[in-house]
Amino acid sequence: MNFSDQQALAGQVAIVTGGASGIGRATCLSLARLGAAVVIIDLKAQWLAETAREIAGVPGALEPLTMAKDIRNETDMGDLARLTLEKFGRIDILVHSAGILRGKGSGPKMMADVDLEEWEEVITTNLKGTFLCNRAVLPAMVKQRRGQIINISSTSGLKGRALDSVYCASKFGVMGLTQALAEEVRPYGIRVQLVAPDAIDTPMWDQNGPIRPPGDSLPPARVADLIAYMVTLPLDAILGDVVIAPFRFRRRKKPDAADKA
Amino acid sequence: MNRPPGKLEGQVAIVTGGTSGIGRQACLALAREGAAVVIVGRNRARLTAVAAEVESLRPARACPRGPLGLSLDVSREEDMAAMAKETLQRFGRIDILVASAGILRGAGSRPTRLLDLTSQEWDGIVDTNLKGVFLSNRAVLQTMRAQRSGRIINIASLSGRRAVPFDTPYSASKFGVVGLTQALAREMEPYGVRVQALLPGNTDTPIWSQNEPLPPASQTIPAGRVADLLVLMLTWPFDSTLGELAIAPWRTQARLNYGRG
Repeated sequence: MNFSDQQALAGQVAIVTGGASGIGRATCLSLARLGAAVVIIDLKAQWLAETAREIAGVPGALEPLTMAKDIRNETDMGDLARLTLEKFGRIDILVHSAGILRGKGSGPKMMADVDLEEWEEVITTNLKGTFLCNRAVLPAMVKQRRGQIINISSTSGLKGRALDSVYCASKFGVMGLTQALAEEVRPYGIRVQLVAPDAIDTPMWDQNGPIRPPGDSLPPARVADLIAYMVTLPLDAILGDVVIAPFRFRRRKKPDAADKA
Repeated sequence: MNRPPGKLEGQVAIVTGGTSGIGRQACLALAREGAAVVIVGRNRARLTAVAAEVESLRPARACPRGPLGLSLDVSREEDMAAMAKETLQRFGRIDILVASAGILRGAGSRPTRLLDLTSQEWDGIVDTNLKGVFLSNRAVLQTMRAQRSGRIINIASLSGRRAVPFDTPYSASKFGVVGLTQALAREMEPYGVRVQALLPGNTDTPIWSQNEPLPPASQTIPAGRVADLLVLMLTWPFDSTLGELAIAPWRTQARLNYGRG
């Protein structure tokens, strides 16, 4: 199976936004294990250094390029593409993982109580950020006639969920943008796919202080494994939006009546 | 040559429609991963041929018993009961069911308006594609529920997400498979039985030979591509599920999320 080929991404250059924590960090590690040169983008310089050290511990992994850049900033995203091309000469893969759940220090709330500032914070990061980082890599990929983008939406991008209207709106937006882009750039050899995870155990929950991730949230490595499969899938095929959700099986001690048949 | 241990060693897998197309590739992929394989089909000559292929791939140490070929019809209740019974007699358990048996149209039939469709042709397609999934799934559920473990993958189609004109019964049957699978997945989750649908787009299988002329090869994905994805789904950790997965030829079927529920 292509997935287990240790050097399946040898010679390829992969940018991962939000790459210093959560799904992004796990993805950096799995892409590095598959032989890709990884460019890690994040706002947090300290986490960037930690992620780079983790990659250095992967046998045979190439040294990553780290950049403290903001996906909300057009100039930063322009620099990201320029600096990646200067260092590696190409951009093969973008995994866009940067995102936030709510405004800083904010909890779930009714839309009636959402102030414009929080609306803008979430929409700018999750939706405008997707636009800016996707757009930034497209000129290089179009020129190469080859490239792959994986955007991370959420199960909240498929179904609205009470008390997180802004997050849902932003992640529905990511779905729409990704579907439109996938169709648009296919003639240029660029494959665009999407992952919609349910609750994953990442620092995204920490922004909200006392609110903890749900008890059955999944390890980020699950999503990273899935992304590794998607980017190594041969270019004759494409996967539809992939949902990854907890499988809620609680082992029962005793057989129930239905077992006796 | 030493090969790494299979990811499905010690597991017992039934594949309906196992003698051709996606089903045959599923049998071969399961055998490579070390599973004991039960091949279900209607054509005895093809059953013998696929059984021989499976036997040649079987890692003897991990899987001491050779494949079982069963000449049975998925649309017959007593045949599906026999499928479960004979599997249990030979292997003692049922871990995996891949329900791959399906037809596109009646033998020798072409794309037809609903207006001109005979109820005989309707019954032929719906009995195999939808009732066959009901009967084959139901036949293994008692065992899987008692085991508190099992995996079922029903092969639907992209036509189960976006209907195709002039193939009404096929589209209706595949929408039915998707609906059945969604409901059953929720029913069986508490028992540790993970039920999923896989929706392939145009795949290079003999299903097309029912309606000449064949579509050009550039518009299909190899059946092995679908089998690879099946292996990913079947070996996926039990803490999560990838739900409903769609795969299609990238160059021609980009709109594979259209109509997603």
